[in-house]
Amino acid sequence: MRLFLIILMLVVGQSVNAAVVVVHSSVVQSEITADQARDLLLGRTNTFENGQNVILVICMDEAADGSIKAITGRSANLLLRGWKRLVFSGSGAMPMQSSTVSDALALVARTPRAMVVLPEAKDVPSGCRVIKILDK
Amino acid sequence: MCDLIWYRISLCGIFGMALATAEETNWVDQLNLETHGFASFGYLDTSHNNWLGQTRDGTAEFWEVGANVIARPMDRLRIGAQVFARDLVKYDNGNPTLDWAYADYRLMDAIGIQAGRFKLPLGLYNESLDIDAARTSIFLAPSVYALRSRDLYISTDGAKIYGLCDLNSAGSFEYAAFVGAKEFSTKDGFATYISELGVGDKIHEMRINYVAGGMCHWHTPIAGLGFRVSGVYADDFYVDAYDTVNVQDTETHADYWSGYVSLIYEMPSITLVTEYLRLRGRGETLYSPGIPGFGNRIEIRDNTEGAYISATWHVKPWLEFYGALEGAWVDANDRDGTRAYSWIVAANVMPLQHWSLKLEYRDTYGTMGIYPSDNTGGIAYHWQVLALKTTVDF
Repeated sequence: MRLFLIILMLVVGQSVNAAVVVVHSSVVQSEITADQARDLLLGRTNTFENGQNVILVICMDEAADGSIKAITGRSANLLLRGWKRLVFSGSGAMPMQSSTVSDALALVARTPRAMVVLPEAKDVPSGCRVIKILDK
Repeated sequence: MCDLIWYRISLCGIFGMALATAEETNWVDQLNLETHGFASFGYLDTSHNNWLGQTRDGTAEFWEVGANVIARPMDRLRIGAQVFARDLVKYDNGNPTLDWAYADYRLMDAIGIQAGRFKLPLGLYNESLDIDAARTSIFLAPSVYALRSRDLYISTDGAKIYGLCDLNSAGSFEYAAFVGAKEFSTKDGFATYISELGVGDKIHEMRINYVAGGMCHWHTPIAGLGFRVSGVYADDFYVDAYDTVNVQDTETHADYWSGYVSLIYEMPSITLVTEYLRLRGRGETLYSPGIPGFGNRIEIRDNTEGAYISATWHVKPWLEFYGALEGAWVDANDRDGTRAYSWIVAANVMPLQHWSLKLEYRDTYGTMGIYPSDNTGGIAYHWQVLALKTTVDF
């Protein structure tokens, strides 16, 4: 039974503690639930709880892969494939992408309403801030 | 004719916007333009039977391309259009079509409105039927996602309302409801297929009076587990044709109902999917002059049924394997009648993020989907398909 639970934990997911959400300073929202972050990343929704529109940034850095997986259950590559499905079927527009964590932070800093999921809040530039993820 | 005008307008729009993107003018910046595209090239080889045309000696008439432009001129508003062409052995032969062209306004997460030509959210994958880059296998299960009659259910010209509602501890609920109408090109693969069904080799007109349907998807509280039901009603599918062999005019009227039940469980490394389709069509084909011994009317009673179960293993970001079992029956009330049972394995290697190489093998017992016109030497009960495909997208 214990072995089964360990395998299930490994297969099903990781803690959202492995992720932080960084937003542009124009974002009013001060916290976000893990489910809301997941729905935004998967393209199911595109606004914060207060109705503010979100510009999504996906960081393709290997370091950010774990944080995306912790929130969505999918790797960044699989997430991107889901977005291709939305874009080519006429159900969405592609999120912005960055190849490194520092590029992602710079992109969020200069893009109003932008949001990115990263593994940790390190060297966050001015124009960005970290918002709390509620584990719901 | 209407489709041609739409197509030309969209083509001008796409190229115009693409050029404007290059110039990076201020008004373009405000539109938040983006362009995307994909191109797939494949090789198809079958043993014992020809499938979708002459495939027993192998064919490279197996490709698709698409290009789109999407603009976001203001918050919540998205406008876009996509042109698509494919060659599926003897179907379509590269005729470009307007795949979708819409304006979408997302009022809030729970309510969005889309108007124009949009894809129908049937089953889990109907909207992404043509997008090779979005899946591991080369073919979506033909038992549920028809290859030849793709045009019938791929899109419609009308309006759609959709959204996602949070159910708190019960997960979330995604929905869509749509209504529209459609006129089909008489040059595309769908017309070729309709001709094969015996209504005549010259199709003058094909249209649907209206389609109406919807989709409900429950994202359960168990991470990755989703359940979807979807369906569509097509009122008065009309075909006006002429049979040059028998020198007859034909006129077909039929109503179709299609219902899909889908279950998906997405884990980080494995995705499990099962889907079921039940299709019911009722109508008639009128022949003028009549057929000796049959009169001037043949009743249409379509009771097709199909299902599959699949597993995808995401081994590495660049490597995936797929396995599936499929079943399809021409008449759901006669499972011993014409049918096809298949097992499928596929591999997908992605050397780059936007480039994939795929290999698929299908082993089928049954003759559903195999036509005598492609197999004049006889039809085998047990046959195989080997497919290779490469796709790039941007």
